[in-house]
Parts: sequence; C-alpha cells; structure tokens
Amino acid sequence: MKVLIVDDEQLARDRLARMLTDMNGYEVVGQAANGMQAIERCESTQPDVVLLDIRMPGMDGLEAARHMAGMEQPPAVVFCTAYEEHAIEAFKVQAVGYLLKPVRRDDLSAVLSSATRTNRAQLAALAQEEGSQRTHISARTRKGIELVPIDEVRYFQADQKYVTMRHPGGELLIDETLQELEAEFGNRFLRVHRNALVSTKYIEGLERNEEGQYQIRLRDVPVGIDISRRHVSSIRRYIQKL
Amino acid sequence: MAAAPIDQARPTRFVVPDLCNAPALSIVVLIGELLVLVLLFAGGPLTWEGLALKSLYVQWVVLMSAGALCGARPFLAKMGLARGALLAFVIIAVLTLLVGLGADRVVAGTLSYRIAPINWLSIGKQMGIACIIAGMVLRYFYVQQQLREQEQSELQSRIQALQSRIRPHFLFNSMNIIASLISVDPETAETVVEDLSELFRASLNDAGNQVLMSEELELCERYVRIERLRLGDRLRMAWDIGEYPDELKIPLLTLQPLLENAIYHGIQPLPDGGTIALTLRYDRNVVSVRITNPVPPPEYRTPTQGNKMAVNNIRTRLNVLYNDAAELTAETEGDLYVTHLRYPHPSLDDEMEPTKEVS
Repeated sequence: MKVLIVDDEQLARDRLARMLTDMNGYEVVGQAANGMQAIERCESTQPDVVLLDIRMPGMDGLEAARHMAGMEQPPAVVFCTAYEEHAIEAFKVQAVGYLLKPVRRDDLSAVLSSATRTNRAQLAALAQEEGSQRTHISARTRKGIELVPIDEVRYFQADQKYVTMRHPGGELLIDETLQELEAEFGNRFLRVHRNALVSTKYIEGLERNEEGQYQIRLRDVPVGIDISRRHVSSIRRYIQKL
Repeated sequence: MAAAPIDQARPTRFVVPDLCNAPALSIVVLIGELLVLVLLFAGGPLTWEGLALKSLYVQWVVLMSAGALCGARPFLAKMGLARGALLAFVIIAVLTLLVGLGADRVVAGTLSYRIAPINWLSIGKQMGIACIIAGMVLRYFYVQQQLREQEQSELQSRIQALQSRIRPHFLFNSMNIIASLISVDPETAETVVEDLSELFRASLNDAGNQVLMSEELELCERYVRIERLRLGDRLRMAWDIGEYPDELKIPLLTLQPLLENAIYHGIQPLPDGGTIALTLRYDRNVVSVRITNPVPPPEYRTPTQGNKMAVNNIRTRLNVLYNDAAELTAETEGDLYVTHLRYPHPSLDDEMEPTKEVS
C-alpha cells in the first residue's frame, strides 16, 4: 500500500515514515509540508492513503482533502491532529479516519487497514463544521487537478450540466453546484441570476444592453453577466454602497 | 471559553442561611444556649431552674425560627437581599412575640387578661434581643458563605490561569516532538523533556509570583527551543536584550505567553515562517518589552480567541501587581503585530541604596 505523508513538521513526518517502514506492506511514496505540495505529490505519486495533518500553514489539511477528493483516483485520507476539540467530534460523526498525535503504532496500523475513501459530502460537512472556507477551487483537467485561488475567480456560471468558473487564465468546468458554492462563499460572491454567482471584488457596474437586458460588468471580463429582473434592485443598492 | 461555566457554577448568594441541615442547626442551637448563659450571668438568680426555663424559652424561639426559615428559604431567596432579610427578621420577631405571649400566659397561670395583664414591656425586650441575635447569626452565616465562595473562586481562577497559560496544542505538539526524537536523537529528546518540565513547573507556580528577569528570559529561551524543533527554519528569533540590573524582576510567565502568541498567530500560519523580535530596554526605572511578529494575510489566519485571553490574563495580573502603572498594548503597525509591555520597577532604588551605604 502506497502512503503519502503530509505534515508541516519534519520531525512528525520522519516519525510516521519510520513507523511505516517498520510495518509490513506499506511503502512511503512521498512527503509534503503543506496542502499545496500535498496535492502535487498526490498527483505525481498516486498514493492509496494520505496521512494528512490538519493544521498546516497556507492550505490546511481539510481543504487539501477536498481537492484530492476531486481527483480521478482519489486516495483514502486519514487526518492527523495533535489537539482539535471540535474536529475530532466531527470526524466521528462523518466516520472519517483520524489519528491523534503522537501517533501510536497500533492506531496507525488499525486505521490504515480500514482506511476508505472519504467522499466530497463528508469533507464538505467537516469544513462546514469548522466554519472554514477553501482558499482554492479545484477543477479536474487533462493535466490533472488545477487549483485556482478563490480570490482570482471572477464568476461561476451554471448551464444545464456543468458549472463554469471564470478566472484570469480562462474558464474551467468544475464539479460543484452553485448552491454549494454560495453556501461556502456567500461573503465574497453575489447571486445575480439563477445561474450565476459573481465575485463582489471585481464588480465594476451595472448596464443595459440593446435588448433591454440588465448585465453586470466585471473587471477583466469582456462579456457582461445577465442579471435576472428580481435581482436588479438589490444589486443596484449593493453597487451604490461600494 | 472557560469563563462561562464558572459564572454558572457560582451559587446564588443569599443572606438567609440554609438551616435545613444538621450542622447549621446545631450551630444555631449552640448560639441559643450561649445567649441563655449570657442572660443568666447578666442578672437574676443563678439557678438550674433559671437555666432550664430560659433554655426552654430561647430554644422554642430558636427552633421555631430555624424551622420557619428553612421552609421559607426558597421563597425568601426570590425576593432579593434586602427584602428577604427584612422578612426573615419579621418572621423571627413574630415567632418571638407568639412564644413570648405563650410564656407570659403560662407564667401568669391564666388565659384571662383581666386577672393578669400581659407584660408587653418584657415581651418587647425579648423581641429586641431576638432581632439583635438573629442579625448577628445571619451576618455570621453570610460572611461564612462569602468566605467559602471566595476560596472557590480563587481556586477556579488558578485553574483557569493554568489552562490559559498552557495551550493544549503546545503540550501535545511537544509530546509529539519527544516521541519523534526519542529513537533518532535521544539527547535532544532529553533536552525537550527538561525544557518542558521547567515550563510546567513555572506554570504551576503562583500566578502572582515575581521572578528575576533573567529567569523569565531563560524560560522564554526554553520555550523557543521547543518551538524551533517543531517549526524548524520557519521560526527566526531576533533577541535584543539591552542592559538591565541583575535584580530586575518580572511577574512569572509574562513574556513567555506573549511569545507563544506571536508564534502561534504570526509564524505558524505562514508557509515560509517569519521573524519574531523581542526587544527589552530598562531606562529610568521603567521596563519596556516589545515583541513583534508578522501579520499573516487574512486567508492564513488562525482563529484569534486565544490571543485576547492570554493578553487579558497578563493585563489582569499586571493590574493586581502594579495597579495602573503597568501597561500592555497589542496592535497592528503596518505589517507587524506589536505587543508592548511597560511597567515601573521602583523597588530597585530601595534595594540599591543600602549597598551604597555599605561601600
């Protein structure tokens, strides 16, 4: 079984690696010190299990796990934590594998032998419990998982099947619903239409095209985004406040 | 987070004691008997008969009052301090009146007022005595209850102080470090255990204790040494310790929690870490310590509830020790978070003067 170890502390990683080497049937295929690195290594090494520290600088373990869940072959994830009052309760509720640091050998082998993939719903519920927002949105592309900082996203737009995410590098299709996105990022994005969420950070103004359709203009976005009639007055008020 | 349950646990303070239990009742009976002795010594014939009669009379009043207050306590408790106390007095006075009237008739040997008029003066005196003694007894129980509460709250605040001074995170992280080091670098593991022990010993000490500045700085170094093992190069320290007199003192564990805050909020969330600067100056009897850490970008920040608690805790302790002469400020200055502590150290001159005289 291939294992990826993710922890921001070198000592902690070394210890886990040592313990795994002593145990039969496990191979440490890589180590990572933060969430971003973890996703990278996860793609390049394709582990079966990721031992993932929760509290890490930059992208934390919880978010990294959510992006990993979007991979073609998502690994099983086991969270590691030294002390997280709330998280542990949530892990139990969501039946997610976790280890307490300092990790005990018996616990490690027990959790690895029973480690299963965590699905997106479980992870989203965990994040909601923690009240944490992702710093990035991930999309599965031919090159693998592509991460876009939430700060750079201009808008999300839904058509019948997919949600399109607009960012400076172009457009990406993501596997999430507008409802989920609005629930998580309601403080940064504004619903302007049944099918569109726009980043409040990039709003430039309101305009009306030849057909009389209200549209919202966003910085660095050539096309206007349609606004549904019932949202017009609330958006106008919002823009006036800016 | 620890404050709420303590507030809830505090019993409602109330002037009327709980007389429904045997120890309290025995104290009341004892006080009644002492009163009897006082009355006996103060005047009248010193006979067994006098003792028995007075005891009978006093204990009637005492036990009836105790019973009535025991029963009425839940009701009295709802009325607030002043009104509850007043009603308690009224109950005792009325009971004394009734017992007094009863006794008066027994002594008179008849129920008829015409043959033997009621001795109102005597009954009035007895009611006066009953009210005075009742006041003293109520006061006694009130003070006793206050004392017990005070002890309780002192204990609670010590526990609270202890909890807020040792972050559970730090404890478990240190344990993890030790577990990681034991097999590969036993000597460093040993050092961590020693450092950790010193920090714990200090945190179990009395919160009001003052130690030498050099001792506090040593604790800080021990603490930083442990954190450096965990964070590696991400934690960079810039110590700038100016000259200070050897006798300079500081309340125990004042600087270490501030450093801990700086690391927890300023270094840990940053992937590349940063520098923490500690500057200590001593000038004209004023100690000034400045601790700075980088301010992480908003998306990297850790929840800040613990931060305020540690700073407030230290501020409270400084207030107790220096009244308003000590100052602890924490604010953002540009891209730095600056914690500044200033406190006077006037005792130094007094300690230095005798040495001058000797020389």
